[in-house]
Parts: sequence; C-alpha cells; structure tokens
Amino acid sequence: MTLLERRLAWQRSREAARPTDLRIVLLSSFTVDPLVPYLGTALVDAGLRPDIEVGPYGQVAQQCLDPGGAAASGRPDVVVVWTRLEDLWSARPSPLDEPPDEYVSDLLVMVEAAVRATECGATVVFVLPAVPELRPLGVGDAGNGRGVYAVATAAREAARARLAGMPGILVADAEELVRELGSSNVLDWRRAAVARIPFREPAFAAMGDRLARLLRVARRGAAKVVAVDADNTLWGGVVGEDGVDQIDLFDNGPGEAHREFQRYLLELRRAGLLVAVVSKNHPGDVWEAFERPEMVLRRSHLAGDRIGWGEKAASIEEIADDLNLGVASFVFVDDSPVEREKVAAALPVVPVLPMPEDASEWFDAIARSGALDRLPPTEDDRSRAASYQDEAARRAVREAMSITDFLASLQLQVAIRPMEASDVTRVAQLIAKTNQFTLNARRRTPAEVASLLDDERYVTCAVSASDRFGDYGTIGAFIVDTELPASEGTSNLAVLDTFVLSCRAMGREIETAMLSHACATAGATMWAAVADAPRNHPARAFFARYGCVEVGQLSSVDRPAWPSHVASVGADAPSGDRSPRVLNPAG
Amino acid sequence: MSLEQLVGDVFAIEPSTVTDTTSPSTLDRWDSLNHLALIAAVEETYEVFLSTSEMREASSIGNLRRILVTKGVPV
Repeated sequence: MTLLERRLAWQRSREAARPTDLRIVLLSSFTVDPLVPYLGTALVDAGLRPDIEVGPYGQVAQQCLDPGGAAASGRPDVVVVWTRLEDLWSARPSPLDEPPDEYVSDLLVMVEAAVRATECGATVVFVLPAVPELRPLGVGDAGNGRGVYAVATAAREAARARLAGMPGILVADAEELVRELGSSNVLDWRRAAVARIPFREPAFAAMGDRLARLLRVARRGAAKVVAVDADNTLWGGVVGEDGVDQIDLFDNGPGEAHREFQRYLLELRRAGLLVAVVSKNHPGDVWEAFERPEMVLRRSHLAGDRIGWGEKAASIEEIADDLNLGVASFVFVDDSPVEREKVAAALPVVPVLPMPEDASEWFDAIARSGALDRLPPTEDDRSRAASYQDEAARRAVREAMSITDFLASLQLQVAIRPMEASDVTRVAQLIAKTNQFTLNARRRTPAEVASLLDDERYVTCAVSASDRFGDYGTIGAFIVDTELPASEGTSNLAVLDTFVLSCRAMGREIETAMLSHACATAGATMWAAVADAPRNHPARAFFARYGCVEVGQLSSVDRPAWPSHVASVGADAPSGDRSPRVLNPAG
Repeated sequence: MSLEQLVGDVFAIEPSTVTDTTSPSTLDRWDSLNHLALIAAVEETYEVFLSTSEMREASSIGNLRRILVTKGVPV
C-alpha cells in the first residue's frame, strides 16, 4: 500500500461507523495530524480498533495537567506525547556555550506532565524528541561539549532515565526515524513553514508503525516462543543428506551467516524469548549436528523440540502443550516457503515471518517485522527462560511419584505480600497476560493497579513462589474489593475482584494457598463471580471446587485450607529474598 | 489518475463535482489541514514538489492545475 492509499483507507474507515476498543489522544508541540492515518491503519493491521483524536495544538503540558484537559476529561486509553526540542527551546538560543540544565529541564517539564497524565488511568506513550538539525557550528558541533547534539542528548537521556520502568509509560524515540530514513527524508522545511508540520509523510508513517508496534506488544504481550527450523536455517545444508561434518557452519561464508543468526537467537533468548527447534529429520542427526563445536546455539538453550517426520504445525501445537502456552504466543521461522505456508494455513494465529533468500539478512528482516518486539524486561522476565527449563526437570520428577509425594518434595515456598509500588509493573503485566488462571478477563492498566494500592477499600496482594528447582519470581496476584455496594438495606460485600496466576506456576496448589489467604484477609464471607473467558477453564474448575459453580454468578467462596505442602513465607521478609535467583540455563 | 479523481478521493466527494472553481470557499472540507493533505496527495501522485509559495497559490483547483502544468504534469 502506498502512503496515499493508507491515508485514504483510514479516511474511508472513519466514515463507516465502527466500534472502537482503543481511544487515543495525540498531544504535540507541532501539527501532528498527519500521524493519525498511519497510526490508525497500523493499529487496525495489528487487530486493534482505534479511535484517534488530536489534542489542541501546542498545549502538551496543559492538556496533561488540567483536569478538564484531553488527558483527563475524555478518559482516553492512550495519550501520545510527541514534542520537538526546537519547539520547547523556541525561547532560547541554540545550545552553544550555555549550561545545559535549563535546556534539559525544558524537556523534563513535558516528562512530568506526561507522568501526571497516567494518573487518570491512561497509558502514556512519550516520544523522545530527535536531536535538532540546526547547528550553529555546523560540523564543529560534534566537538562542542555544550553544543546542540550534546545538550539534546543530555535532555533525551534525562527524560529516558525518568521514564524507564515507570508503570503506565511506554517510550518511543523520534531519533530512530532519523536513523531509519535519514534526516533529509524526515524533515519537511516547506510544510514546517506553511503549516508547522515539521516531518515528511514517510516519517509520520514510520512513527505510526513504531507506535503501533509498541501499543500492540504492550496490550497483547510479546511472543513467548520462537520455533525455528534446523536444516538451512540453523546451518547451511541438510544434515541427513550432507552429513554432520559437511553442513555449513564454516567461517567466511554462508555458514557464518547461519551462526550469526544463532547468536541473534541467543540474544532474543536472553531477553526472555524461548527457543524451540522444529525439524523434519532423524533426531540423532540433529543432535549430532548440535555437537559441532561451531554451533552457538546449544541443545541446553532449547525450551522444546520436535524432530521427526510429522507436520510442523502439529509439532508447534505439541510444544505449546508441553510448555502450557497457547500457539498464539509462537513465532515460526523456516527457510522453506512451503513449510511456512503450511504452518500459516494450519495455524493462522502463528506469525510466520517471510525470510529473505540469504541467511545474512534474516536478523534484519525479523527485527523490522516487529514480531519479536518486547518491552524492557522486568526482574521476573529475566528468570523465566531458566524457569521453563526447570519445568522439564520438574516433570521428570513428577512422573516418578504420586502427586502428593511430588508436591511434598517440591519444598514449595509461597510469599503473599501486600502489593507495593514496585510490584505494579509486574502485576499489571500478569493481569494483562494471564488467560488460563484468571477469575475474569478484566484488564487493568498499570496506573489503575497503582491507584488501588492506597485505596483502603481494596486488599491488593502480590504472590511469589520458589521451590527446590528454582525461583519463579512474582507469579500471582489478587485484589479483594472489601466494600462492594450490595442491594439496598444490606451491608457491603467483600468480593474477589481479580485473581491471576501465571500458567508456569499452575499445578502446585499455589492457587489454593492464594484463595485461602484471600478469604482470610476479606474478614467476612468473601464472594466471587468466575467469568466465562475464552481460555480460563483451569480457573473455572478451581473456583467450582470452592462454591463458585455457576459461571458469571456471584457466589460465596468456601475457604480452602492452606495446603500442607506449602510453606508460607512472611510478608515482612526482606525484599532481597524476593528477587529471583537466575539458574544457570546450561546447568 | 486525473486531478478530479484525486481531489475527489482526498475530500471524499464525487469527482464529477470537482471543477477549476472548486476552492475553500466552495468546499467546506477544504480547510487548512486538508489543503496540506491535498498538496501531499498531489506531490506523491505526480512526483513533484510544490514550493511554499506554490502551496499558498494553489488555493483553487484551477490554480493547482496551472502550477502542475508548469511542472510538466499534463492534468
């Protein structure tokens, strides 16, 4: 689609009345309207149904801070704040020899205003402004410690440092547009003069695509597993035909490109993505190839594998079952267009990436697709890759003994603690991502979770667990509304509002411990209504055991006993005890 | 693509209603933002650039057509 076609497509879709599930307000120091059609069409392509408004021009801080402003009054889901340093510094000369502090604080004022906008429950996307083009020293600016580039960089990094890791905040970067397209393709001096539109259409399109990628990964979660083919993907050639010694992993040639691709997979794994191998081969051949000393990806790095002669779509489904994950969280990488098409046809929810002919270009193709985008890792993400491998060890032990023996042997420790501000990001992530063990499909933004912490009406708890195989980190959370207004003449009810447990912690009766604790903290009889969400069968079955048989019906919960195999770790345990221990993935 | 068709697409109006006298005073939808949208559509479709003064002069379809003709675009 050309850029003009995208703009016209958006215009037509606006004229047809459509339901929306994502209300977005754009606040900017310049005329940002050209962004709307690109952001809109990119979000529609990502499966969302956005409604996008442009806030009053040049009033970013006011609109964020004023209770009647666009950020508060319209109750948007997302507020995008995109300013330019040229606009923020319009009352100052270009940085030349001045102390940088005031230039930095000009941007930090916008950052604080944006942070305030999260208090209304919106997710704020803050766009770090690009370095200005106007350099009084020209080529000499590079050597000026107080020059334009230096001061702009200081301001950008101060803003990034303030925003990084904040609940409810996502960060995009306009400097990436300049890197991607080049400044002469990004800046539009003519439209800047005529209409304060400082960027060209391709730049707005690139920002629309980036913002959509960011919002998609924030709302839908990142891919969890990349399933990769082996022959002609991890190495050049076919191991069953060429032989283990002849497959191409050699230096100075295509083999090196395959090894570079393996290095990229390892980097993705370090960032929290699981790697699985799906290959049509004799298993012995593949594992022998994995023993080649040039291999960068080792067998111990894999969270799953299916090597045989079955269809790859079925293999992916089996690995998904093994890992307690949905196939929708998989991405499939294969050099063969035939295999890609077969998987795409059998599993339409699995993104299948078109791969260039040349393996040296794969990294770039995958990175540009956005299919493996992730948000910055939390502490818990870092230990997850290790945790899934522990799961294999747990299964082996589990099959060797009765469930009671197994649970007793786990030395399971569960800590249920009042939620703190530092838990908000992880808990909001759990609420957003949990599909199986969730009481209802209610999603909450980080800002909404944060707002409950200080509200005495709500009991909010985060749950972490560890056992002799490793530390799971924070894997569950629940919220009790202790005073939900009931019908007139009766007193308020204590009602379970949210109850989520990560799928990787299921099957250990951690949920039983959580529910027992929740009932105890509710003080009175606790009530709950388990919802009919698409994949929450495990939660429905669990709550049915404790009196919530009727789906969608508010029922009183029979308090379960605390499971005898679970050791309760005090809520006042030092916080250091909660940080997950990262197991040696190769161990 | 004919200029009338393009103008029709940008303003979401019937191309047959577009004439050389069509201008912001005859077409409510031709506001300052849509003016820039029209310029961008013209520039991309006919692979030309309008200067800042040409952007201002293109204040009716007739004027826009004259500017395009001077750039060698037969519209």
